[in-house]
Amino acid sequence: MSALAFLSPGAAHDAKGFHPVARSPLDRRLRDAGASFEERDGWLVPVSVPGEAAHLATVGVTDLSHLSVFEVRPAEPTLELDGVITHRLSARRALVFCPPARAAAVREALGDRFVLDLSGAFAIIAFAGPEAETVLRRITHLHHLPASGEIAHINGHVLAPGGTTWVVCPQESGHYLWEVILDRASALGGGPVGVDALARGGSA
Amino acid sequence: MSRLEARDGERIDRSQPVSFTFQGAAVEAFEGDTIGSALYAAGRRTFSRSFKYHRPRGLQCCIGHCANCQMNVNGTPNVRVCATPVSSGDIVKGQNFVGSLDFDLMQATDKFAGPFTPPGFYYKTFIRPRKLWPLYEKFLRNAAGLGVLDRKGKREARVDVENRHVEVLVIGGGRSGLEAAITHAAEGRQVTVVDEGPEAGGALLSDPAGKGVAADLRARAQAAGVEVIAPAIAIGIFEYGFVPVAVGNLLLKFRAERIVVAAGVIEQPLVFPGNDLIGVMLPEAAKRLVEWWSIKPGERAVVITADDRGLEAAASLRTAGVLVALVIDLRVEQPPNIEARGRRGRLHAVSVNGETVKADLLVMSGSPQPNAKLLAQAGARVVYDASRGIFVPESLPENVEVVGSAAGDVGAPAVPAAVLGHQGDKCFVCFCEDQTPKDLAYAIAEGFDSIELSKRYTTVTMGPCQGRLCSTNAIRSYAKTKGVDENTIGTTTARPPYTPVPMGLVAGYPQEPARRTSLHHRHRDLGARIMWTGAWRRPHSYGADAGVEAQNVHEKVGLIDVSTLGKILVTGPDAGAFLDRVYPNRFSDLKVGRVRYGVITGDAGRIIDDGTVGRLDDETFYVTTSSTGADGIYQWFGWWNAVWFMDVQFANLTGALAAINVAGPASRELMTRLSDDDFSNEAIAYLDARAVTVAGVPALALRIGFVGELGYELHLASPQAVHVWDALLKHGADLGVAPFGLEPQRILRLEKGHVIIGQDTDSESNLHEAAMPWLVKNDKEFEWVGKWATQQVADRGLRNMLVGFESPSGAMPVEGGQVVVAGRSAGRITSVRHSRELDKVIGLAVVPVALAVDGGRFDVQVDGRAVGMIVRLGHFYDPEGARLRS
Repeated sequence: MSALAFLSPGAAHDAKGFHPVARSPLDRRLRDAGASFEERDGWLVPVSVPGEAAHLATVGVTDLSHLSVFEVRPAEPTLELDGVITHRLSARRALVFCPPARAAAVREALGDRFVLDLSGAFAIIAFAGPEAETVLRRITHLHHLPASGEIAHINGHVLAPGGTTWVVCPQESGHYLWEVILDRASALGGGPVGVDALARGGSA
Repeated sequence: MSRLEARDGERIDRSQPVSFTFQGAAVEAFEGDTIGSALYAAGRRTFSRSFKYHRPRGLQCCIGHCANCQMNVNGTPNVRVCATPVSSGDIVKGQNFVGSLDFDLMQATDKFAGPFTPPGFYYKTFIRPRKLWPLYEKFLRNAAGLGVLDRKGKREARVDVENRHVEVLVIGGGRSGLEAAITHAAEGRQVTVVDEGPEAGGALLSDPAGKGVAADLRARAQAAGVEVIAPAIAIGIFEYGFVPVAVGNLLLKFRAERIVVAAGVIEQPLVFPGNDLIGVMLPEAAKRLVEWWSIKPGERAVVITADDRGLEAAASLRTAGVLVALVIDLRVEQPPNIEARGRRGRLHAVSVNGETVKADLLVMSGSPQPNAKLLAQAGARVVYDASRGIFVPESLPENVEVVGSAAGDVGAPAVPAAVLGHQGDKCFVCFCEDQTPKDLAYAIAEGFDSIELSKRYTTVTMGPCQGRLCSTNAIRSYAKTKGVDENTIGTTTARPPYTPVPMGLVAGYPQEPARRTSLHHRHRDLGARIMWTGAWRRPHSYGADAGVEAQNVHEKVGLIDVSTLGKILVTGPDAGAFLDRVYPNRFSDLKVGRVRYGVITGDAGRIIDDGTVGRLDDETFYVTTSSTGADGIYQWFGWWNAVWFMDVQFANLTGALAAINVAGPASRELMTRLSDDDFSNEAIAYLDARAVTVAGVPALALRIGFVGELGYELHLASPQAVHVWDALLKHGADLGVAPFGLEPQRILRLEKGHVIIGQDTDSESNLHEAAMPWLVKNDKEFEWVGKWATQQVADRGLRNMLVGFESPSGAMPVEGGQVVVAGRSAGRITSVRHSRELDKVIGLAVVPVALAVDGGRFDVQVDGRAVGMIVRLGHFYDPEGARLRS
C-alpha cells in the first residue's frame, strides 16, 4: 500500500465483513431533499430528487462530489481525454476531474508527476438551467470561467463544463455553500436535482 | 379629488384600480400611481413634519430627491412616497409628529422655540445640571429625528446581491444617457443603462413633446442591444469601476470597464420667506403631477424661475386648467423681495416687491445644478461657474465620462441671489434640517466659517436629501455672508450612498460560512451540542455532564472527531531539512513510522502553533496543526520556502482527510475488531505512525495521547469517515464506546497538563516561559525561525512560567482571572476545570517564575475574594505515562 493510500476514498475495499461506501459532504442535504441514492463506483450518489423536472425548468442544482479529483504538479502537459476536465490553478498546479470509474486510468496517464488524490477534499456543486447564470452572479463576482476566487465569502473554483456550472469548494464548506446556492436557486424557482437529471439537462 | 380627465401619455392605468390605506383610511389609486401621487389626488397636502420645527411639509420634488414626503410604508420608515409605486394593500402612515400629521403638537417649537434653538443649542442649553443630560437627550431625540424603526422587527423582505460585469455602464437614462449608450453599443460594446425613474427617458417623460422622443430612444437602445434597468439607483462610484445599484430589494454590484454619468440635473429651490410652505414646489413636481398622474396641482399658480424649467411647468399647468397668475423669469428681472405667505402651513399668496398675488401653488426654479454627486464621490473636481451659478465637474477619474446636463449643459440660467427676501416667515436653505440663512450666519459668527465645519455644526446638507437641494444655496449663503465667491467656499465632501438605501440591502443576504466536518450530521444525530471553534462547528459535548464523557475515556473507550486538525503534507528531498528550519526541534532524524510533537515559533520567538509530525517515508512528512492554524501554517511554510527555495512541496490536506481519535483502555480491542492489522504495543508503539486498514478503509494511525490514554488517531479520506465512525460505534458498543466532545477533551488534556495553543499561550508566549525548553535544539546546522529571539529570552532570564495548579479549597477561578501575588496582579489563569477522575479543580496559569516550583502558592480572585492556589509541576494524571504506553 502506498504511503498516501489513506488519502484516496477509492482505496477502500471490502474487508473483514465491512463494505465501505463513500459519502459526499452533501449527502445529508440531499437526503433532506428526499433524494434517491445509488451506489456507483464505491460512492452513494444522489440519482434523483422529487420535483427535479420543475427545478430544471429554471435552475437545477446537484452534487457531483463523487467525482475523482487529482492535484497534479506541474500542470503541463494537460490531459486530453474524454470526460476529463482540467482546471489550471497556476503554472505549476492543476486539478483534474474525472468519473471515479476512470480514476485509475487517469492517474496512470498523469505519469510520474507529483499527483495527489484529493477526491475527498472537495464538494462539487453543479447547476444548470436558464437561471444558472443568475445564480452564479448572486454568489460570486467570478465571471471569466473557469476561475478561482471568492464565492459567497469562501475560496473556491468555478468551472463551466458543457452547459453546466460547477462550483468547487473545500468539502468542509460544502454544506454551507450548498445552502447558499439552494437559497439563490429556490428564489428563482429552482431546487435540487439528481445527477442523472442534470446529466440529461447538461452534460455532467 | 384633483384627478383630471384622462390625458394622452399619462402613466396611470385607470382600468387597474389599486387600494391602500393611509392612517387606517382607504385610499383609491391607479396602477402607475406612486403613493405620493395617489395621496395628492385624494386631497392630502400635508405629507410630513419637518425635522426641527415640525412645520408641515408637502410634495416638493416628486422625484425622490427631497425629504418632504417621507412616510412609513408597511413598517419601513422614511420611505419617499412621491417616488414609491403604489401597491395594493400598502399600509401607509405619517411619521414624526405628536397628535396627527395635520395637527402636530410639536409645531409649538416653530412658534416659540426659534430664538432658543440656534445651531448647536443642545450643546449649550442642556448641559446643566449635568446629571439631567440623559433626560434631556431622551426628550431631544423624541422631539427631533425622522421615522422610528421597529426595534423588535425582523427582516421580512428577501434581499439579493448580484454581480454584474459590463463594458459600459451608463448612469442615467435620459436623452444624453440613451444616446451615449446607443453610440457605445454601435461600436460593439456591451452596455447597460440604469435609471432611477420608472423607465428610461429622464426629463423627456415629463415633457408632452418629449415622450415620443424617449420612446424612440428606448427602441433604438433596445435594437442596439443595450440593457436598460429601471428603476435602478446607482448609489456610488468606487475604485476599479465598481458601482452598486439598488433595484428594489436587489443590489446589483456592477464592475464596469467604463462609466458614463448622464445623471441630469438636480432642480434647485430658491431661498425666500415661506419657501417651505405646502404648495411651493419644483418644476418637475408640477409637471409630473400633471403629465404623469393627471392631477391638477392647484388653482392659481405663481412661477419664479431661473431657467426654462419653470416656463415648461407653467405650460403644463395651463393645460391642466391651472391659472398661472404670475411668471417671474429671473433672467429678465430679479425682484429683491419675494415672500410666500401661508395659512396653517399652506400657501395662499405670494408677495413680490410688496404686491400680493393670491396663489395656492408656487413653482420655483433656481439655477439647476448638474448632478455631479456620483462624480464627486468618484474623485472628480467640481468648480463653480459664476456666470451660470452652477457647479460643473472637471478632472474626471480614469474611465469615467460625463455627458449631457450633468456635464454642465444646462443653458444659461439666471444666478439667483442667496436670499430673495428679508422679512416675514422663515426661509430655509436646508429643508431636511430646518436650517435658515440666519442659522448659517450664526455659525459663521461662532467661528464655523468653512462649509465643512458648518455641515458638522449646523447639520446643513447632512439630511436625507444629502445636499441635493441645499448644498448650492448653503454655499451661496456662506459666500454672501463672508463676502467671498462660491469657489472660495468650495463644496462639502460627497460621500456614498448617493441616496439612502436600507442597511439590509447593503448587508445582503445573511451568510455564515461555517466549516463542518464530514461527521457533523452524525454528531447532531447523537444529540451533540454544537459550538463554534474558529470557523468550525464542533461538538461541545453529547450529554449534560462532560465529566461523564471524560470518565468514559479513562475507563472504557471514547471517540472524538478531530477532523478539524490542520493536515499538511511536506514532501521532497529537502522535507526533513525544511522542517528543521521551521520548527525549534529536529525532524530530519525522525525515523520513518514515528511521530514527534512540535511547536512553531514566529520570527520573534513567539509560539504560533503546535501539532505532530509523522514521517511516512524518507521524503514525506505528515504535519498536523491546531484546528485554527491550518491555513496560516500552510501559508507560513510557503512563505519561508519562497525565501529558501528548498526542494520540497506542500499540500494542505485538512479537508481531504477526516480524523477520529479512538482513546481509552479498550481502544486496542476495538481496533482489533475492525482491522486485520496488528495493534499490539509491539506493532504500533507509542508515537508510532502506521498505515492500517480500518473497516475496509485505509487509514494512517498515529499512536499519540493528547487525552492521556491509550489511543489511536485515525486519519482517513473524508468521504469514508461516516462509515468508519458508524463501524466503531457499532462494534464497540459492548466495550462501552461513546463519543466525547471538546469539553471533555479539555478536561482530559488538562489532567495531563497538555497545552492548547491560543488558550494557554498568547501572542507573547515563548518556548522557555511556556515550559517547553526541551523543544529548543540549538545544535542544528541551520538557523530555525525564531531561534535568535528565543535565545534572547533565555539570556535575559525568565520572568513568567506556565505552570499547573490545583485549588485546595475546590473554589473554581475563571479562565482569564488574575493571579495575585502580594496584592498585585502577577499573571493569569489560562485554563481551569474540575476533574472527576482526580476529584480536584486543576488548571494552568502564568505565574511569576519565582513561584514556578512545586508547592508554590498564589492567590486568585474568586467571587471577589482572594483564594489560594498551589502550583503543581508535571502531569496531574498518569505522571509516568504508563497508560499512554500500555
